[in-house]
Amino acid sequence: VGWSEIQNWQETFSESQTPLIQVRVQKGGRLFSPGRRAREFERVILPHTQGLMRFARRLMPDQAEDMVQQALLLAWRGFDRFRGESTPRTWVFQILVNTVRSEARRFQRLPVIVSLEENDFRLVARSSGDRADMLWAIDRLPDDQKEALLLAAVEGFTCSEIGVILGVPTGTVASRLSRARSSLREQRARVMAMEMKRKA
Amino acid sequence: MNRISCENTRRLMPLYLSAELTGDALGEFSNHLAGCSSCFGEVERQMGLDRELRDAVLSEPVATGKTETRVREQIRREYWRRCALAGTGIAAATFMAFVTFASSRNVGILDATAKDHVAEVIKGQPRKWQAGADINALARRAGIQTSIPDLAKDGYALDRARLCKLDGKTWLHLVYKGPVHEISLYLHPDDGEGQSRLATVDGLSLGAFMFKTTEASLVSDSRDECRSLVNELLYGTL
Repeated sequence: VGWSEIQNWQETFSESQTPLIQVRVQKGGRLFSPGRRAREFERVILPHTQGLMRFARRLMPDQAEDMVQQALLLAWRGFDRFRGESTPRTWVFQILVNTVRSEARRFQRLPVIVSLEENDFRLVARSSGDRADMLWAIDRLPDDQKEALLLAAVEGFTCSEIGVILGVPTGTVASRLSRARSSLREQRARVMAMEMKRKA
Repeated sequence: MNRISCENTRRLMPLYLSAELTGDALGEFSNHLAGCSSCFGEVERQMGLDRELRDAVLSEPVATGKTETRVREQIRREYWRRCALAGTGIAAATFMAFVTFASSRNVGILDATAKDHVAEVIKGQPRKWQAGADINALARRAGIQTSIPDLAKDGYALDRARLCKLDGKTWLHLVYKGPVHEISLYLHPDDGEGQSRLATVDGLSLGAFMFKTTEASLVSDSRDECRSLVNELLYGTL
């Protein structure tokens, strides 16, 4: 594992970031006619739908589509106000995180029915295999750690970009990532031990 | 010799993995890794864990077609709503511009008739006037289709008339003698805006209105007299 591999990986994820809009936005003022605005939105924001959906699905599996749709519409409505202080990708992920959080707050006020069996690995019907184990493990991390790790490991954001998305300092992101990686490893070890016990 | 501790190296590891360590910090971190197999192993394990997580998440199919379609539809609806709003705004602005233009025209003729009344009636500057039956001939020449208003029952007798050019148009200027003073009534073939308006200019009371199909402007010394005559000409039995 070398330095160049890390850099290549970062560059791959940075390809979809479009500097053109930032240049235009930095000139200030209203930039696009309504038709042009729609085309720019289509070009700059919509290509990130897949990443948004991937991320939302891990945070709110049942409402991922609604969350992403809501976030994209909020982004569309606020597209004129986007000032290019971050990349369009960081910006739209930030909107999604806020959307998910406000939905979670709303959801917390509702009575929740919790199955006691749900958290028991042995009783949950699931597919086996390394990837399934990994998904099972990440889904069980606390939300703050899960958000940071998914944004870093899967979406390829830097710690400072994650700080912008989550609204926390870069140092906090770094410590969340450290905790998340060690929790994920522990969860996986637990899953694997149980799996071996079950097979035996 | 390592200048940073293993603890600090672990703390900086997330920044190293996201390629945010630069300059001296990166140099020191790399030196530490070169001399510490435990931290080097930890970096490798963390990178491996990230790679496995990425592979696992990316292996799940993500269908975005439905969501994108719904977003595009919503955007299109909002786009047309914005266009409709913009259209309404333009229509409102056009209407306001028309009203302003119309009232400015109205103000223009009120001002012109007030000045003409002062010069020709109050100051009595010498003019060539027509009287009696010649007034009807003058009205025809001016293109007035309606009959000349008779204000006799209100105490005003038609005294004289002449054609004059006001605000770029030819007007029939009628002068009526009243119990106290004279009033002027200006008539012009219809191209007015149909708006009625009362105003005061230089102490004179004026009324701009449509008399049947004729644009009219009445000038009087008295506000009450002006109002009642305009009302009578507009709605009365004249």
